[in-house]
Amino acid sequence: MQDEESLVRRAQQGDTVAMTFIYEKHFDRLYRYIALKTGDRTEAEDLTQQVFINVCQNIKSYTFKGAPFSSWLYRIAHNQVVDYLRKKSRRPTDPLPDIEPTGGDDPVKTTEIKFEMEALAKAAEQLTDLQREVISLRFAAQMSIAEVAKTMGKTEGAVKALQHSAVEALRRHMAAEKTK
Amino acid sequence: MKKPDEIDNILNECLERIMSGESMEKCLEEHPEQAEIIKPLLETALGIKAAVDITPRPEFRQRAGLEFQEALRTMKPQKKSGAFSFRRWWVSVLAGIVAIMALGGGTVAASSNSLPDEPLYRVKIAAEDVRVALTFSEKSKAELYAKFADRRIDEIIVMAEAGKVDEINRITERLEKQLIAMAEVFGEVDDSVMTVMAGTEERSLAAQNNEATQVPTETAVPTVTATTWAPATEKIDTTDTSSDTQKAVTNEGEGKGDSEEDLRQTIINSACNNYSRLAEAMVEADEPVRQALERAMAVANEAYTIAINNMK
Repeated sequence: MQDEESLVRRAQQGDTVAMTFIYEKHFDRLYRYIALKTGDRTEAEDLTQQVFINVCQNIKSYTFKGAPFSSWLYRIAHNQVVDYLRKKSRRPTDPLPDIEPTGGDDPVKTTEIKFEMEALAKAAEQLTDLQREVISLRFAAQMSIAEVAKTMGKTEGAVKALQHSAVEALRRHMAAEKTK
Repeated sequence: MKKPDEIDNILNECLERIMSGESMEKCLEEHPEQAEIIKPLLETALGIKAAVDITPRPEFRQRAGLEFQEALRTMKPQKKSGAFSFRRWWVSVLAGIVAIMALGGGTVAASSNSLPDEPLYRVKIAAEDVRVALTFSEKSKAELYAKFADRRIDEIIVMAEAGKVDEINRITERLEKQLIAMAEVFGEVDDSVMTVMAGTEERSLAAQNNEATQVPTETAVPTVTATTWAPATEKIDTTDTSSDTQKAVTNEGEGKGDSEEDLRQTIINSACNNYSRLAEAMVEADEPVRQALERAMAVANEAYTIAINNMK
């Protein structure tokens, strides 16, 4: 199995197979990350695609500095989302009715997860930018604490603290919503 | 009462362990003093994890794959000039024909559904080689190779389910050869660049099967320029190539008409479908099988891409 560094180096040399591996490896997680941050399926799709186009065009400029390649990739994604939100001039307020959860054919499960997703999208608006970024990277992008720390330029301790405070804030908000 | 940063650590530790398959109760048992604080946080965290467990719509995945393909086309490949490897494939084919004749048609028919870990598999492979040898139309040859590649993917998936890594690797080598042979139907294949199966020059498949029945190619896989991920919508029907064979003499060397474009699309669809099937097989696979499947995906991706690019 090829390690990430050799894969990226091959991609930088124009090897499209390596590029395809990178694409396949990160596609779903990047989509989840963007969907959670934008709260809009259609925009998440377009932005996900745009991120990979940008990666294609700019991968030669990427240099290894100790951080994983995913740090660079998600910085591009983050910037893409920030640009999108800036253009929209608003925070994401739409629920996520169009995003298809992995509930399969089970209508009960699908409804349940969908509700949680809508609740999460709404609750996430209450978080700080840093908290929201940690939740997006940790849960949607499925990064480890170390990867999140490198991506955000924080210490692992700081990321753990942000994770804790974000989860706590979300728990409070979602509990309050349930009592309404 | 522990310090906040200790709670941060315990929360994260339990979260990692739960995501690795441990139960929440087990982790909480090790932190009884913090269990009351940690438990609701863990429940919320797992709720978050479940809520974001969404997958892209298939139609988006397809569209995105095609657009990504277009982006890749703009990347300039570092192609090196390379000569064709010399192929004495007619010797192999002749030996295959003799073998098939010796075995008889019944054995060949019985071998058609055999798997790589079964004795009749060699007959199945030899029959494929002979079938190619007796097909003279370039298009029909390509269709055959595409069909055989589909078979190899079927076999890889069955072997993956059985956890047979060595078999997967052997089939992958054959898959590579057949796809490259398909690519060579349409144009040159650069043999100077690394192959995904590099390091397998000894060709263990040749040891398993008679060397004389190998598919007619010994070329390595070059760096490629594009691929596609559109799902397959049609299947190739090559159940009877005799009519194609009759037409072959006049068809050889013809220009790229609609039929070639149709074939190209069919191969694109086949490539996509096979790639998706391998990716699905990887989901449940343990690490050694997963690595073998990844290699198979790389080979399929690379060789299909060469073939598709050669058809431009």
